[in-house]
Amino acid sequence: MSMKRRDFLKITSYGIAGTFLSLTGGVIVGRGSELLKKMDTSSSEKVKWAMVINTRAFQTEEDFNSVILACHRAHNVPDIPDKIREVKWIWKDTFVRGFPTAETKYIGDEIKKRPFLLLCNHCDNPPCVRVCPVKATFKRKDGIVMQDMHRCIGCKFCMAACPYGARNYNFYPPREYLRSVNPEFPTRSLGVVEKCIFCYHRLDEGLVPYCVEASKGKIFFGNLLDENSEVRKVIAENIILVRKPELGTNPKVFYII
Amino acid sequence: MYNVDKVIPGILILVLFLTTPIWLNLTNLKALPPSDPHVGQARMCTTCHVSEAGPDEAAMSERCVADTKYMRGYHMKLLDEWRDKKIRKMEVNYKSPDGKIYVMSLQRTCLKCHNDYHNFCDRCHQFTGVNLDCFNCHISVKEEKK
Repeated sequence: MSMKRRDFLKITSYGIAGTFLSLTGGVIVGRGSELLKKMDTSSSEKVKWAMVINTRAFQTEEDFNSVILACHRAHNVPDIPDKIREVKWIWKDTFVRGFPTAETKYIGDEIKKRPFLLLCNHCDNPPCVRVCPVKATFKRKDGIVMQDMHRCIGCKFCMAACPYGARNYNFYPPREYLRSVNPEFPTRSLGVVEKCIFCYHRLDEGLVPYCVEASKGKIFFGNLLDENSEVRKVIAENIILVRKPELGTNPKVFYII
Repeated sequence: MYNVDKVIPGILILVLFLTTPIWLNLTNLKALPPSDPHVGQARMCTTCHVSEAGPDEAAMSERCVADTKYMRGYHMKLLDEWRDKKIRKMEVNYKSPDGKIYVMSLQRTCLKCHNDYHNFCDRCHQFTGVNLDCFNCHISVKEEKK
């Protein structure tokens, strides 16, 4: 087959132009804009669970440990000594590490050294949900960011997406690291990602989460959409921080400073 | 065709040899899972299986969320439904066809009675060549005591 030099150049340039068009057009009108849409719950929902942690009331080691243990025992969270690959649903850390962007140079020593309880923020606009390729993590109608262990394939996208480090991968066989077993709740298997689930199973049955129960009044829990709820009152009356608000994830775990 | 007197009997012998399992099974074997060592014991749900002692329908239907026949055939479907309802549709309770209310939970409902994983679940699944991963996470009571 023979072809004129002129025809060859024509065909090649059409091809290149077409490639560019489809690339840019695809990003602008296609999937990209859809993905970037916010995932706010519709206004018809009546419940949006939120948690307020009174950091001033958490003083001693015992205050923290009782809450953390209550959660981890009830949910069969393994106690893994390897700090890099540990699994935790609720944990303790410093102000600087928990609120890195809220730190200013002359902040008080007391605040800087004060330990904070950290957990999954159950964001209103959760980045982990957006990246999950199998919809194993999703947002419930009441705002809880759920993790379906049955469907998780352990790709760790959500761990990369979560700005709060709330997700942990099971690098070790979790059953071998259990101190005690709660027969009412499953364990996890090797190779899935797990995190706090706001005790959805207890909320559905009309109970408060384990951490709230164990904190004896130091953690408030309630419906953010109900104007008369305890959490709304506490949020209105105190100085409140959320973790990394500038990211636009709209956390639903609030901290009284 | 050459050597007909040798080839034809040869083919017949070969076919007979290849089908020996069929001939043997016709008379001897029953397609049943190995019999349950706990037949007749209380709280042990032997009844979901066709064991040599026969199922105890009465004791079973008294407690379980559905009758034995349905559960034997479709328990996996029911469990899948429960999982989706509980995790994705925010439902807690299951209303059985006879109107009783049960908590939708493998560990808090099913495994309370069906607490012998090896004799209850595994026996049949091994026989039918089904590989489960339920119990990679869910805990059966006996296992927990070990």
